[in-house]
Amino acid sequence: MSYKSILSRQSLILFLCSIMASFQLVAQNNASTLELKELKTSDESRIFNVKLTGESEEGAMPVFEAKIDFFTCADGKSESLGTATTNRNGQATLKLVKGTWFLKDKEGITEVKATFTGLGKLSSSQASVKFKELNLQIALSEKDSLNTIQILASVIGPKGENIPLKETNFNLYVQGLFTKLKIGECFVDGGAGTFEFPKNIPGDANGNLKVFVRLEENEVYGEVEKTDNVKWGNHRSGFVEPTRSLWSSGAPIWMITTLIILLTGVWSHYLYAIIQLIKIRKEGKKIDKN
Amino acid sequence: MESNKRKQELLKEFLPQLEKTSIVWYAWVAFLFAAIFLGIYCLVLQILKGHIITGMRDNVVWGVYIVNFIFFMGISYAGALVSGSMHLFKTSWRGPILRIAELTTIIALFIGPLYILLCIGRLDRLPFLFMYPRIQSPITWDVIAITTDLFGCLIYLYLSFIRDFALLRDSGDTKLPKWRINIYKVLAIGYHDTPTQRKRIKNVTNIMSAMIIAIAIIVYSVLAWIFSVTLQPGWHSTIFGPYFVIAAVFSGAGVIIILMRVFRSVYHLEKYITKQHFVGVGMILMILSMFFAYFTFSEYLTKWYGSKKLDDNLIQILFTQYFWQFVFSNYVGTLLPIIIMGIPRFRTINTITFAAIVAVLALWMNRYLIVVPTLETPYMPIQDTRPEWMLYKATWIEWCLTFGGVGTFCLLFTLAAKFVPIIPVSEVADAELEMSAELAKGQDNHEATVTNSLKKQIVHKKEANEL
Repeated sequence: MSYKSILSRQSLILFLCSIMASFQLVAQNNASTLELKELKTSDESRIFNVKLTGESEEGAMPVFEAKIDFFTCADGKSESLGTATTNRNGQATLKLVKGTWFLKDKEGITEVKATFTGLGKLSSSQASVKFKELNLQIALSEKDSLNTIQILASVIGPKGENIPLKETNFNLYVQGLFTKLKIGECFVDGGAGTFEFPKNIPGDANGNLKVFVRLEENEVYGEVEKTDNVKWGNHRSGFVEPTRSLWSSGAPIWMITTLIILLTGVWSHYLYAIIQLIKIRKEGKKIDKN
Repeated sequence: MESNKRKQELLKEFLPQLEKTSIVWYAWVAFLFAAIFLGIYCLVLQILKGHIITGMRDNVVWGVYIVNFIFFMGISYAGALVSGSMHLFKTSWRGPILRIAELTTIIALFIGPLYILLCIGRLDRLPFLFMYPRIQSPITWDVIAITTDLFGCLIYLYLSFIRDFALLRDSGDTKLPKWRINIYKVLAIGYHDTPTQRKRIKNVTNIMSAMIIAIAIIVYSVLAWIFSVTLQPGWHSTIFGPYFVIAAVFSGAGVIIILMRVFRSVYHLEKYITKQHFVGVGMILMILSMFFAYFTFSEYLTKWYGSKKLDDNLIQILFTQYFWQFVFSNYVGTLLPIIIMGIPRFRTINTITFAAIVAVLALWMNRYLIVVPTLETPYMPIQDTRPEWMLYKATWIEWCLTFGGVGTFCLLFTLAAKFVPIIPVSEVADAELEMSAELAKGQDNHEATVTNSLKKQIVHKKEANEL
């Protein structure tokens, strides 16, 4: 069998395989998955984060540049909140400022839905979160050399009255260089709780810290966060700047000592040689005169 | 007196080399100038257009320039080590080789650092290196070390020249122009070979020869540390210091053999640079090639056995992409000197010179294989994978500047050989006298031993008769 005929047969098989593969792709619809998370931030705005992934032969892949529609729903009614487009990681964010109106049912619960209508072979999908309005306040104070954070939390009753929050755990964090560092938990009952702030957190160069109080993954209230800045860090005592190291402006002492010893040893011999040459020259001058 | 007479005789023998200049000499110098001017033209182009006209890019930031730098610095230190050792240990056949080794040291030391300047993209920032030095930086160590070495070698070279300058000053009936005699007069600094002056020169030369051996080892180790203190695959090695020193002396010994062969033929020095000298330096070359092979094997064996991912990649590249270069550099370059010097009937002047040429080229290639493949195997992933960005290929600009450097080396050697005798006249005359004195002393000792034994025999006979 000639080389050319083998080549042509191989290319024909490849061509047929590619046609069959394309038919298979057209025939199948790939499923999509939508995840939705909600957060009430410190300035009382609401942030809705979605992540859209599509099933492919290589597993779940992020879907980018897909439109996600957000709706507020209650008692069978539905109203649009806005639209966001996914980025390269398949994520989209909708931020709603303080005072945005949501539909609520009789118990004061709001449901927000995110929907993806489908794109090409990707099927449609939707996700929803439910939450109830929670008022969260924090107060940072120093008393008798103790730093404390007081948490005040309440919900709005059916008649518009404030009802203190009962038996709920809040998490406390400080902002690190890259992520948040958890420093403890605070149990809130009767609408209030107190947390003693630790004294061994360094903070930035000036001792400033950003404190986060968060209610996380709560079935009723969702995610609620409150932040504040405070100068409670003990930067000076916790961090010693190296004075003489490989990366500091001043070289290590051993390095300077070694260099001085070596250079003194070598250059003193050069000096001796030059002095001897000067002596030879002086003697030569005397001989020349005589 | 006898010594002075012998020196004058030798000087008369070598003076024609300094006095006469043939057309071939002028043609040779013109050729070298042409090579240098071509290099200067390329340098101007490089300054005007930037390093984009070289093969160096973001990943392979060092190319043949840095290879040439290491190469020239290596032969410089080798010259220092060979001349210093021969002087210090009073090797009997050192005389005719010393000056070649000393000139190699100083000329290569002037040329080597120039290649560093060619690597620098922003030459205007060069003064910052001296204005804001960081003692922790290996680059600063290298600047200090090269400066110290340069001063030391200049002093050592000058010490070895003074006595010949004095001879040339006092040579009397020569055809040398007056300005040259005046220069010799100034450079001879009133040396008249008095016992005190002779003693001073001898002491200082001994001290400086020991010093330059130590400095050469330290300075070349510092050059090796520039590479080995980094974490780059192929560079981060504890044996890089001694490995570089051995490689330097190996290549330097090769260059000295080549120069010996050239000057032997051009200046007809068959009487002074004999086969014994070639075999002597050839033996040094053979021993060094064995050491070099040992270090190379040790270096790659440990890397291969360790199987770190990047080391594996590097060895893979060396044995595929750079296979023939690797074989030439590490097999041919080391085995040929061993075979030629190891089998007595192969030891001729021409074969030893051939082995030296191969060794020198192999050592240049060895430095290339140390620098370039490592930079083509970076720690950080390469973002743009265009081959011309990832891989290095020297451009004609870099080759012209390389030949320009070699041309400068040859030109300075040619001019130096025209200014002073290439054979150190005073050193050779003194060595001859020392040897004859030692022979005479040996003969006297032998005669004294024979007389004593005869006397003892007579005494024994007398005692036997009395009994």
